[in-house]
Parts: sequence; C-alpha cells; structure tokens
Amino acid sequence: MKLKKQLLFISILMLGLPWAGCQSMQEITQVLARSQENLLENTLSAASLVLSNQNDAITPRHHNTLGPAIYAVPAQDQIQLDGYQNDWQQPTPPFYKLEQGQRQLNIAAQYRGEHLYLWITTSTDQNRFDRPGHSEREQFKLKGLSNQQQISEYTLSTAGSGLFYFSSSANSQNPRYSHLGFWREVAQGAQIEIKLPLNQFNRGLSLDWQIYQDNKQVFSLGTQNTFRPLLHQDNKITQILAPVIQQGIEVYLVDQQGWLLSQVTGKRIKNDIPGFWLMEKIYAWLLDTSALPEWRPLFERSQLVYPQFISQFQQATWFREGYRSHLLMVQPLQLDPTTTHYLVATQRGEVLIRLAGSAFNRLFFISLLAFIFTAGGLFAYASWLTWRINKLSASALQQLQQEAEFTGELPLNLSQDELGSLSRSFSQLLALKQQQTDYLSSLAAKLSHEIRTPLAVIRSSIDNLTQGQNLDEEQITYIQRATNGCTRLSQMITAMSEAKRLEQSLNDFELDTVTINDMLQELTSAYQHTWPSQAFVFVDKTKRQITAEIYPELLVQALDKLIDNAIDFAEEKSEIELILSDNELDWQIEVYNQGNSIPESMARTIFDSLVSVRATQSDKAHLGLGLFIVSMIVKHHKGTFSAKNTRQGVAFSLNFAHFSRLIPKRSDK
Amino acid sequence: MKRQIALVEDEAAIAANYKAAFERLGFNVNIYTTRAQALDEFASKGLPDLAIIDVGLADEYEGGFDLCRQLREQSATLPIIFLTARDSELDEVSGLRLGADDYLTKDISLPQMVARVKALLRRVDALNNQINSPSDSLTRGPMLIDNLTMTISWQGQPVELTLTEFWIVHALAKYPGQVKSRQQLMDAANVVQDDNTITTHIKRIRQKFKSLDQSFDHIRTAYGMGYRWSAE
Repeated sequence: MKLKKQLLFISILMLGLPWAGCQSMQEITQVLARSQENLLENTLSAASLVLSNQNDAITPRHHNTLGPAIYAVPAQDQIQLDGYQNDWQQPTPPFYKLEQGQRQLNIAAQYRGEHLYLWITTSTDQNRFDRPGHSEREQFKLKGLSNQQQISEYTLSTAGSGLFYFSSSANSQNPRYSHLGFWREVAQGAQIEIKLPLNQFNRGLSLDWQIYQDNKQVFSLGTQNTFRPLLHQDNKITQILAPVIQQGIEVYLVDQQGWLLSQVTGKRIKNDIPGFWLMEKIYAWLLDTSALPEWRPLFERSQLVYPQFISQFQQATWFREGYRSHLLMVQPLQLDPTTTHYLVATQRGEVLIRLAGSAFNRLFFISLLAFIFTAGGLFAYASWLTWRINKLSASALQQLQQEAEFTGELPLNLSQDELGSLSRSFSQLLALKQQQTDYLSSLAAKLSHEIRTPLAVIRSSIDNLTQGQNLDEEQITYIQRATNGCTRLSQMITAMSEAKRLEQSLNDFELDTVTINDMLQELTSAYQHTWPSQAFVFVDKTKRQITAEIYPELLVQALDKLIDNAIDFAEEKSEIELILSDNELDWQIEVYNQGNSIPESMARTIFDSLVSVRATQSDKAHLGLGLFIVSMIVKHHKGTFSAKNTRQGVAFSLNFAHFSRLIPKRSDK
Repeated sequence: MKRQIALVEDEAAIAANYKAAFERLGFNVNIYTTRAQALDEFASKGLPDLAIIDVGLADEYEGGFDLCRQLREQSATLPIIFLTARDSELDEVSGLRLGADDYLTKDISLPQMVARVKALLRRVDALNNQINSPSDSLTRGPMLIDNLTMTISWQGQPVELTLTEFWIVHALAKYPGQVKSRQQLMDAANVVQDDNTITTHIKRIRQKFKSLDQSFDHIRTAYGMGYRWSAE
C-alpha cells in the first residue's frame, strides 16, 4: 500500500474525534439531565415553600363538601344567556354527570370576573314546566357555599322555554336580587344557562333536579343536598408562584382528583436546535429517547389525564416527543391536615437540547473541520513525502544505472530530517560504488602496464632461445606452448588497456551523419561474411530512414563487441538479429541472440568494468571489458544501454535520441 | 662496419635480451640505463645509427621523452623508436609528436622489432643515397609512395607518417578497393595490438592527409570489416 493511502487510512482514524465528541456529549447530556432534574426539583421545593407560607390564598376543601368536584373553567368570551353552548366552546369545561334510570343531569361551569355561569342539561322524556293546571312540574334546587360559610339557595323553575328570573330563597320576593337564566326546551330535555355571583359558590355547590307530581316530589337527581366542591383556577396562586418559576418550566397545582387549580408557565425558550436533518438524526441517536414513554398533554378538560402521576412523588419521569424530551416531577403539598395538593412540574427538553445542541454543534463542526484539515494536511504531507522519496529514489536509481556520472550529490542532501540522512547515506554508498567502479576501470590499465614488462622479458627470452639454435622436437613443443601463453597474455593485457586507450581517444573521433538503416544493413553483411557459420538477420522495424549524427567508428566498434559477445553465447546455428526500431523520441539498436539468459541481478552491472557472466573458458581472453567499452561508447553518444532476457535469449539494446531531423524513408522503387 | 644501436632501457633483462638478439643479427648494441648516461656517451662517441628508448627511465618518469627531444635536436634523421610498457594514447601521441619514428609497446615480438629496425635503417640509407638508388615507387592518383625511403607525398607534398602508418597506407593503397581487415593491417604494420589501435592509426593518417588536402577521403571504412583505399 502506498504511503498516501496509508496516511489517508490513518487520517480516517481522525473520525474517532467526532465519535469521541458524541460520546462526550452523551455524558454531558446525562449530566445536564441530572441538573435539569435538580433544577426542577428545586423549583418545586421553592414553589411548595412559597405556597406553604401563603396557604391563606389557597382555599382548602370545605369539610362539608363531599364527592367529586364541579370544575369551572375561565370563560374566554362574554357569555350570552341564550340556552346555546356555542359561546362555551373554549376551553371546554368538564361535565359533572349524574344519571338515574333514563334521566341524566349534566352540569358544567365557567366563570368570568365575579360571575359564575352554569350550564345544566337534562335528558328526560319531556319537559315539565311550572304551569298552572299541570300536575307535574320540575325545578332545580341550587345551593352555594361561600368562603364565609354562608349558604345561598336558589330555586330554578319556569313556565316555559325562554329567559327566566330566579332569586335567592332569602330574597325571593325582592326582584332586585333576581338573577337571569335561560331555559331552552330541546327534544331530549332542557338546556339551562344561568349566571350567578361567584363569591356565593367559592367553597361548594349543590344542585338537585326535582320533579313534583301533585306537589309531591317523585324524582330527585343531583348532589342530594350535599355540597360538591366548586373548583377553578386561582389567579392569586399563579401570582404567588410566578416569581419562583424559571424559564422553560411549567408548574401546575392540582388537587387529589387531579383538577387543575393553578398553572404557571415560565418564560418560553425560543431557541430550538437547527432544523438540519442530519443534525436531528444525530441528536435523536445521541439522546436516544426511544425507550421513553411518549409525551401526551397532561390535562384534558382541566383534569390530569394520568392521575397516577401524582403518586410518583419526587420522581423524575422523562417522556419523549420526537427527538425532544420532557421531564415531569410531582411534589405533594399539605396545606391542611385533610387536604393534599400536588405541584406538577414539567420542563421541555429544549433547555437541554439548546445547551447540549449548541455545544454539540460546535464540537461536531469543529471536529469535522479538524478532520478535514487533518486529513487534507496528512494527504498533502504524504504527497510531499512521496514526492521527495520518489525524487530521491529516481535519482539514486539513475546513479546506480550509471546513466549519469555520480556527482556526489543527491536530492535532499541538505535536509535535516531522516530523508536527508537517508540521502546522505545513499550519497556515501554511491560515492563508494563510484570509487570502486573507477578503481576497477583503472585497475585493468594498471595491471596491463605492470604485466607488460615481465611479459616482454619472457617473450624476448623465448625469441632469443629460438634464434640460431638447434632445438629438438620436445624443446620446440615447450617453446611453442610458452609462446602461445605469451600471445594469450599479450592479448589479455592489450584488452585490459583497450578501454583506457579508448577513453583517452574518444574526443578525437569526428561526428558524421550516417543513415543507420544502411549502416546496419552493411554491417550485417560484413558480419555474415566474417562468421559464415552463423546466421545474421537485420530486422528494420522503422518506417523511415534514421539519419543521425554519430561517431560511426565508435558505434561500429560497440556493435562489434556486442556481436562478438552474441556469437559466444548464441546457440549453434541460431540467428543473431540486429534490430533497428524507433519512436518519436529516440531510435534503438538491439542485438539479439538465442541462448542462455543473463542473471536478472546483473542486467545493469554486466556493463561494468571487469564484470563477466561467462561460465566456460575459451581460448579467447574474456575479462568483462567488452560491454564496458560498449557502455563507454554509448555514453559518449549520450545514449542509454540495457540488457534483458527475452524470447529465450538475450537482447542488448542501445538507445539514442534523435540528434538530427528525420527524413522520409527512401522508397524501394 | 657494424651499425650502432643505442638501447636506453632500465630493465636489465629486456636490455640484455634485445642486445643479444640484435648482436646476433650483426648489430652493435650499447645499453644505457639513464638519460644522462646515454647523452654523455653520445657526446663523446657520436650519435648511434638508431636509438631504442624506454619512456620511463630509472628515476626519470618521462626521461625517454626528454632524451628523444634532445636527440631530435641533434639529428633530424636519426631513427628513434620508443619501446615502452606504457600503451596509453596520450603517451603515444606525446612520443610521436617529439619526433619518434615509431612507438611500440614491450609485448612486441623480437622479429617484429627487428623488422622495424631494419626498415628504419633502410630508410636512412635510402635517404642518404636517394639520387643513386633505383626507384621503387607506387603512384595512386596524387599520392606517391616511395618504398625505399618509406615516404609518402600527396600532391607533391610530403606526408609525415610513422613507420607503422606508412605500412598501413601502403597495405591499403597497394590494392585499391580491396577491404583490408584490421588484422591484415596489423600484420602489414608488424604490430600486435587491439582493433582500436588500428582505428586510431587510421584516424591519424586521415588527419595527416587532410592537413594537406581538406577534401581527402580515400581511406573508406567498410563497416564491420575494415578499411579500403578508394581511388575516387
């Protein structure tokens, strides 16, 4: 795997940062949830304390009131006494329902200012108006219990459908104390709407529907002359609680039956989490509210939907609403020995969301940004590192391949980091190799010089020995062997110094413009003539005449060496090919022979001085200088050389750049 | 009277062997190991008929070159042959530039050396008795080859060739058009050297002709085979 990919993979580990952030945020969320619970609990405690200190404001249930309460809701609009309930729509008051046989009695209450409005409906077979001559009549006995324990009593009856007046029993003769109502006859019974002073009913209300026949009560349905508590929200309590209710918190005061006696809503928090879908998904995952019960409105018709909530004292209960959460806590409030009230507090999770969300947003985006920057930085760094390494590698390889003389300097030599150190080590290594190469190059010439003198002594001694002496056959044999030895030795030292002499004379050769195709054709014929037992083939792969400025004598000498080499290694009767090919940039001569391959590791070093891969000995001296001379000549042409195993043989290639213009290939016609 | 050969060589074995060989052929050989010794002797006894000089002499790294220059100053016609273990191109060029007639490496065989010595002495004799000698020449276009004096002239102007070079040109020009391989040329020039040496000699010969005639192009290369003399 390349360095870039490795670092890119490593940079992916940076994604652990947002992950860790999420984990951290979960922790923070939990801590915030505990804080929120504490906050709510403290709010409840404060509210409880405040109410306990001002319990006068709260009207406890009167000991005379029994059974279920009648609950009055605040009227939003002016109520018209018309026997229709269309102006009773909002908020819908809870009905107090009574039933006996086929007859039903429903009572609903609203208050507005100082007035109490009652909506009484009956369901019966017929209306029994109080009309003369009728033996049956019906009426309603209504009693109120005020805060001052005073009882007000009213009788509601009318002669027919429409407005009617009624008054307190105590002032039945005084029309000034008459109150107005509306009795509307409907198919199923009656709808009665009346208006009363609220202060007379603060503590309780009693209503009995009575039917008389011949002045004898035959039916009664109602509170049976007992007071039912009349409950409604108390603004005074709201005013007392308001200062202790914090932002985002709602507190409700309810009685044992769950009737809402007061509600205080803290200032609403406007901020919400951003609506970006991804963030919502992340929050949902982060907050993980799936296991919580779903949130529903607490009150329905002013009564707690789930009365069991009030038994969960001081226990934080969490609900979910989408990705948001709601917290609910209840605290009992003992205002007198007989009556227990409850403070129900809720807080929407927005507080938490807002706090956690904004922190999370920042953390998420910062870590994402950090990831992008780090990944980008790492990628750029990897690219830079790769570029430097490639540069060093290419340069070192080029030096190793001897396509350029080693100047003693590699890229990054001056860098202070590890790559600089590596470069310097490479430089030392290459310098050492260059020294060795130079030494080997000069070694041959030095050896040649040193051996030549003793050889001259031997040769001249043998020559003297053979001159003017009568030698027998045995002596002649030995002298002949010694002479042959000297000749081989002489060839050897001549070959050893050839490279040096060629190097010294390279600059004396003159450039000439030569048509390479023709020259190779001519050479192939010459080689065929010189080595008739071997087949030579010229393969011209070019589509044009290659005319180049070369040192023809030198290039031919290089080819002579390659051919000489190919003949030694070629399989018997196999073809030796001279292949000329070209492309836009350069032209190439290949000398190919079938035969043993060269070891891959020596593909480059085979062109070095004194390097030979010959396994067998022959009469000719082989010191590994032939290909060295080839390399020298090709370098003098600023060309490149290589050897490769191909087609069950070996091909030596010489590459040259196009020095001169190319001309169209000559037509054969 | 025996011909005098001065052998300036600090390697005693080689000197003794050459002395023996040449004396067997009727030459009188004097061996000198240093330049000073040789110069002293030449000053008192006169110059020899031929001098064979090693380049490196005892304590003088290039004493042979100095000696050659001093001898050439004393005589323009004295045949001088360098016989040395040094085979570098630079040394050869230096030696020939100083006026030596030939530059040979020490692995040359004695017969080849003797052939050169005899040839050079013949040339001296021929030069000294030019008027009285019968002509033995070869004409190739504007080139005249005098086999007796072993000299060549081009368009009437002498071409300064060494003995080896003369033999190479002679071998090529004798049969115009015929390709002479490097080996054939080496045999003709009595040298045993590598192919590159022949290439170098050919290069020098062309340069010498071109210094007289820029259009000279009679020695043609037969790629992969050798060289030939072109009459065109």
